[in-house]
Amino acid sequence: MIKIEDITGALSCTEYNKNTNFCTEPVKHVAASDLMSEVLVAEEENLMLITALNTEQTIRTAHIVDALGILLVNGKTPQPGMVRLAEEFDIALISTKKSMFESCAAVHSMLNGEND
Amino acid sequence: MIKKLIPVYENQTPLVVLELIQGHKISEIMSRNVVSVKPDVTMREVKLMMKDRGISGMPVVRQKRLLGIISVEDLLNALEDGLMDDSVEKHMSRNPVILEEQMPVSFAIDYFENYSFNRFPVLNESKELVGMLTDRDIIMHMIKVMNGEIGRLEELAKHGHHTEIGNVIRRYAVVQNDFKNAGKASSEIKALLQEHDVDRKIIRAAATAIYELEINQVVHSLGGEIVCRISDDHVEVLARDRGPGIKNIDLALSEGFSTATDWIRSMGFGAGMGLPNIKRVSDDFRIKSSESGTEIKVIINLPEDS
Repeated sequence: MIKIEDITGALSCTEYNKNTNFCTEPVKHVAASDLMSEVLVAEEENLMLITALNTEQTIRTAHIVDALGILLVNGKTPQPGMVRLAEEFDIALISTKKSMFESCAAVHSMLNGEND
Repeated sequence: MIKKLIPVYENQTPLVVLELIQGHKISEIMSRNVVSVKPDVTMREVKLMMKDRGISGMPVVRQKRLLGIISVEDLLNALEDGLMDDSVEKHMSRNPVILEEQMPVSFAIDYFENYSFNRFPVLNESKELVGMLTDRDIIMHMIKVMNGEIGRLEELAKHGHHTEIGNVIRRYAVVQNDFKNAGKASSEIKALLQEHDVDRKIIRAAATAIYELEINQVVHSLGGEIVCRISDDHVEVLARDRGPGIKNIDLALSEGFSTATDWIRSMGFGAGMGLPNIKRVSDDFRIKSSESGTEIKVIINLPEDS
C-alpha cells in the first residue's frame, strides 16, 4: 500500500498540506497532465494527480475527481490561495524538484512494485 | 429606495413576512364589535360613552352609513369652546380615510405608515361600516400568525437535513478570463449534493460538467452565467454566455479540438476536452450557438436510491 506519505519520502517532497488520509489511504491510480480537462476524464478512486500546473484550478480539478493529493513537479511552489484551498478541500499538496518524467517513472515503479 | 417607517419592501422582505401581510385580509383582523354613535347625539353624551368604554374615538353612523369620526381631540375642542350640547355631526371629522374589508393587511400597514390616525373605519362592498382597525389589532394578529409560522419554520429547520432536495436554484455569474473564480459553482453544487448523500459518481459527473462549463465561459466567452437547478430526480445546468459563439459545433465536440491560445494552455486548459467531457458525463446534452452567444443545457439524473 503506497501512501502519499511514502511518495513524499521517495521524491524528497516539500509538504504544503497534509490531508487527513496522508498516512493511511493508499494511492491506487495516477493522472499526470498539465491540462485539467484530461484529468477530469479520470473515473478511478484513490487517485493522485501529478502536474506542473500550480494554480488554484489544479486544486479544484483534484477536488472534482476526489483525488487524495497533488504532486507538483519541476520544483513548482504553490501559488497563493492554492494551499488554503487544499486545506479547505482536504487534499494533500506536495512538491518535488524532480521532473514530470522522473516523478511519473518513480511513482509508477512504486505502484508496480506493489503489484509484483 | 425611500426609507419607510415600517421596513417592508416587496423585493427585500422575507417571503414568509410578505405572505403574512399580503395573505391575510383586513376582515380577518379588524374588530367587529364597533361602538358607534348617531349624528344627532350630543357631545356631552359622547364624552360619557368614551369615558365609560375607555375609547378615544368612534365612528358616526346613520343606517350603517359612515358619516365621520369623532375623537377625543374633537371632544376637547368642544369642551374648551363650551359647545358640549352641540350634536356630534357639527364636530366630527368628515370624509375619514377608510379601509375596505377585502384589502390585504399590507394596505393597512401602509395606511398607518402614511397617516397619523390611530384607527381606520372598515367598510364592506356595499359601503357599510363593518368594523374598525387599530394598530393594536395588527400587532395582535401579527403575533398570532408569527407564532404559527415560526413554529412551522423551526420544525422544518429541525428536519431540514433529511427533507428532499426539492427545488434548489443557484445562479453564478462568470467573467471572461477570470480563472481565479472559475470552479466556485462546481464546488458549491458538489458540497450541496454531498449533504444530500448523492452517489459519489453522480456528484463527480455533475461537478465535472459544471466545472467545464465555467471554464468554457472563462476561456472562450465574453462572460455569462451558469444556472443550476436541483430537483428531486435530476440536476439541470444551464450555461448561457454573451458570445462570440462557436463557429463549428461538430468540430468543438470532437476530442482534442481546441481554439485555445498558448496562454490559456499555460493556465491548464485548452486540451480540447471540455465539451466532450461535458457530453460524456451528462444524461442529456443540448447546445445551440450563434454570434450573440452559446447556450448549453445539461441534465444529470439523480437515481432514486441516492
